[in-house]
Amino acid sequence: MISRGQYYLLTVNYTLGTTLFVTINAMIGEAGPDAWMMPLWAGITGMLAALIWIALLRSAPGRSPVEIARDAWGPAAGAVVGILYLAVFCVTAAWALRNLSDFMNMTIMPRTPPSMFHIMFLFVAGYAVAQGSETVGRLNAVATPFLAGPFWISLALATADWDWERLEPAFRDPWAIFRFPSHLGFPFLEAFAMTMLWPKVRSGAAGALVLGIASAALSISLVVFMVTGLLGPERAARINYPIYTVVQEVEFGKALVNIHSVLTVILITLIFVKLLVLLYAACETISQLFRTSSRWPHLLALGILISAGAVSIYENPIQNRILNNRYTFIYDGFYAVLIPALLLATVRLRRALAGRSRRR
Amino acid sequence: MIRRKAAAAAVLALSAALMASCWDKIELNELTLVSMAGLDRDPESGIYTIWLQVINPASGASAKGTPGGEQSPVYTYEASGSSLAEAHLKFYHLIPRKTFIHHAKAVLISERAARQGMKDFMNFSELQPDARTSIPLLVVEGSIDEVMRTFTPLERTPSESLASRLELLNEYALRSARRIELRDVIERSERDEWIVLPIAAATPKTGNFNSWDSDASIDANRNQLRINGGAVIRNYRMVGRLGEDDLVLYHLLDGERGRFVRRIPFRDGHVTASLESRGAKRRLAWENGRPVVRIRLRLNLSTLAMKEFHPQTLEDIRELESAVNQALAGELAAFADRTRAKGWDLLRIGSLLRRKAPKLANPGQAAADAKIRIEVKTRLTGMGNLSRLYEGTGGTP
Repeated sequence: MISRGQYYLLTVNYTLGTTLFVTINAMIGEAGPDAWMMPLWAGITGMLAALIWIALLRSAPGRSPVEIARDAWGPAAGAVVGILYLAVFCVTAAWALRNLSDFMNMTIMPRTPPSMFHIMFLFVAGYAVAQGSETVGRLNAVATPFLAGPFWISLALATADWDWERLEPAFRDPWAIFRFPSHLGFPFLEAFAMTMLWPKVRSGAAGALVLGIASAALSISLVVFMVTGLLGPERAARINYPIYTVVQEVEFGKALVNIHSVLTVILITLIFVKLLVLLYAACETISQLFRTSSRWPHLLALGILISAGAVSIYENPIQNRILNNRYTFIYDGFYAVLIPALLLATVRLRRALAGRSRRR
Repeated sequence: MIRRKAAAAAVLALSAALMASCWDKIELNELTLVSMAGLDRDPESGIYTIWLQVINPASGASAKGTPGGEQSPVYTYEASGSSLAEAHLKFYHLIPRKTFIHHAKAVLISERAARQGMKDFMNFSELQPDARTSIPLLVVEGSIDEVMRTFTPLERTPSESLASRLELLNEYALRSARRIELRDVIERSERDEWIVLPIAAATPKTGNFNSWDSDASIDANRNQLRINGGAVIRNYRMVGRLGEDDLVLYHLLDGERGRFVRRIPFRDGHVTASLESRGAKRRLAWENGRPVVRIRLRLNLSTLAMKEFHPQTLEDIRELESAVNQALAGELAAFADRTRAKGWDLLRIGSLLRRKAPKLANPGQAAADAKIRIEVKTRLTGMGNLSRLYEGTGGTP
């Protein structure tokens, strides 16, 4: 059992995960100085989707979406949905890992083979997942203060270069997000993986999940706001990793000039948390689908699958961006909105029918 | 339990593969620290030339007399190629170590390259993950080759000397600014704003100037570098120059903070006012469909340099303050008119209009038509060490 607080922190860190790497410059490129509003709207969409998940999960206490699908649609269709979710979790994990190795190779460790990052992160995450949900929750709760503190401190140190002119003209394009629906999908709909942890959380996790998504949306919005005010929309839209550049340009007196390595550690730990949740979700899906008893063999198989996926998911970051812009909304919407909504409808319908027949 | 511990130990041991030392280890002894970079492009042949001034690790102030003590503190390497990347690779024909450019303190660019346009250099620099663009950029007047091969007294490396002088010039003379870094050139050019960069040049040479020997000469005005004037940049291209006096006025209008000294007409003669700028605020208003930009400057006045007159009464103070207000507002307005007549938008009015009135159909024309009102608000806040001046008759007042 993990506590509501741990679940909340997991949701926040999971959602922040790769977002801080990949979408900041895209958002600023699309909406200019008003980009900080995009994560807020996307967060509201994510919270609405979370309400569907919560309604679904509440209809069958103690059951995960995979089990609910089997209960509602029968063993065959349930297994199809389960395998679909397994694939989603594996692909998302591979994607996150690849984003991580791209970042590391491009910034401070250009010569380390990308697979090394993938395999080692999977190895450590696999060990944590094998220990169970308590380890996952506790690990993240312990790590969070060490991530949030230095992250905001290093961004705050950068505010010496702040210029309000960079955020003008303000409020010109508040609805830009609807021209770029991919941001409605990533990252907030991906938080669907958090529902696999739901049965392990003490009661009342709904607030933690919704609040977690809201906090993540606010954090991303604040980061985008600060990056715009610190780099200006022109540079922030073009630089690959604007947060990294912001911190790279911090000169705190004459001694502290290399604090970007601190930021790197924070960002890769956030991705690790995302990987941890996804690996846990994938592992849990396998054991619920096939009712297995041991964990290690599946983790090994998942590790091989995900590390292979990570090197082959796309060829270069440009493809990643195209993939993201074109397909994430449809992709995320399919598994995180459409299927849960259909499941919810089936569950409600069955209950209504059962209630009516009983009354007769 | 033992199996679990063994697994944990194995995980920990294998994590070592992720540490930087495995693939990306960098030994300090295998690096050369670049302290200053010079850039040039020949307009006819299109050949790029890069100079790297690197720190000699074997030299040091304490090492005099010991082996290496007489060595040059920096070495300048030069390489050319038809692209910047090719020129950069050619350094490995000359330098036995991997270049580390993150700690560079200044970047110099030749005037001819600046006049052709610096976009290539900026793009190349921003593309490199290990380079920073938060470094001052200076335009070199005359031969950049000579500047890159000139020592500066007192500081160990010329780049430290230049960076330090830029700071002092900003703080005590308002003849340099904080926004003179590569990233500022990029940002302002991308927003179609104007920027003024400092100009460096070599001073006259005597003796064997290509060696450390010139350091033995007492005349520190020769054989070194000098920062002088400002290069006006628009859209990555140098389009003109500002003199030292204009540079102060430009920085005042640009909102820079710093101290400076100005001679102000007062009563029948002049007084020397020591002033400190506390920033400028710009407001946009409209009068009959015509934009009016009000620039309001706040200044602190000190009697520190005022050897001609010392205010004694409240009336004296008010009179002095309004004399400064009037004189400076006049000078600033004249400067604004002069530069706008040349078509230079140094006050960045076009950008102000684009930000505050984004729906404007023709911001360029509106910026040219805009009326500028400059208000200066001075307050006497500081004093020198005298509360009354000596009153003998010898010497000019």
